[in-house]
Amino acid sequence: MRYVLLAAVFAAWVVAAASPAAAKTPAIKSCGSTITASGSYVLSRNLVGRPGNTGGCINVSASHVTIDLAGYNIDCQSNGQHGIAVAAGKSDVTIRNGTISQCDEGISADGATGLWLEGVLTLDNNSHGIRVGANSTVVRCLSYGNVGYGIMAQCPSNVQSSVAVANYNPFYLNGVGCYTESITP
Amino acid sequence: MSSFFKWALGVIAAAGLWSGAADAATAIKACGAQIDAPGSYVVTANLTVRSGGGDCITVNSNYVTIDLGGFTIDCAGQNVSGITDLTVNYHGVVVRNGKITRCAKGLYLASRAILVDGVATVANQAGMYLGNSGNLVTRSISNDNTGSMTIVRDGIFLECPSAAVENTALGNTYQSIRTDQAGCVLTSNLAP
Repeated sequence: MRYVLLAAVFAAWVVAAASPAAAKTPAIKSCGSTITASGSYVLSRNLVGRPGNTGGCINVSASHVTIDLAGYNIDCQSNGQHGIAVAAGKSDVTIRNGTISQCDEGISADGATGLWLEGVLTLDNNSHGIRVGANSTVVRCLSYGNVGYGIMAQCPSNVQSSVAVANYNPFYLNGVGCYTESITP
Repeated sequence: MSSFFKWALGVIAAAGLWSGAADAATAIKACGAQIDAPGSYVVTANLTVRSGGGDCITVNSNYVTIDLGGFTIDCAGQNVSGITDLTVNYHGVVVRNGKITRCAKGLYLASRAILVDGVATVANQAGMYLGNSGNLVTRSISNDNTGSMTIVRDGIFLECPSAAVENTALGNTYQSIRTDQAGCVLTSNLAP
């Protein structure tokens, strides 16, 4: 009986370790995190900025990165850092499903290209809500109550099904070749 | 406890660490839930309002995401809301991925900057009532709501500026999608 139980426990452990769910997605648990390698990352709690934090609450210094905010909130508490800062020259960065508030720029990625933002709310930030470089897609995002622009993008980029209300100005699309559809106002 | 079972428990604990289970979002398992802090909340079962019960989920905070997890909130025909903020002006509320039915008001929010994505409000008196501006309702359904109340009685009601994109609103007794003030964008909806 003992060996039957032993075999069952060991088999369960092997299955768990080998299953796709066990392929651990690195969790981001605090402000000041820097992503230096391509891959998928997920928030596992709300993140709160602290006095003295610089750069971004999350800094991205790699290409081919996906950050799932998992419904959580990044709140910089007006301590001067960006919510998520993507380094210039990086590309193919996806950010989805969460809220960024009271930062300098909510998403600061003016020098990066090829971003995909989906289901992100940028609220009450002290500069722009979303600021992305060329070849980016912004879809189903909300930008509300930011001191700067709601959504800024370098063209060509694609901004769809998004709302920017109660900001200094709603949208700023710089250059030619941007596509917009179903944006408010 | 025998040494064997201690060992077995140790193996199980080690497997949990190996799987790297992330902190889970806060689970909502029953109606009567009060959300008092920002963060991520997920429904983990179908929720039914019991006889004499109040609103199913009440939002009392900014920056809240509610993932219905594909489950259904069923108010069982009682005069309550599926999800409400009690008409307090919060902001940054996301509701996604589930169904709300047989409520007086399916989704009844007066907050700003609300994102509703992938939500079905079906057979309520009023489907979705978003009474403040800066909202986006997308990829959602609001059908067969009976509209028997005054003011709050539409399939989808939006205070402008807001947007409704890629929704279906059919069979509602009052208006499919109704807006108030100027600046709303309604595109790619099936809402006669």
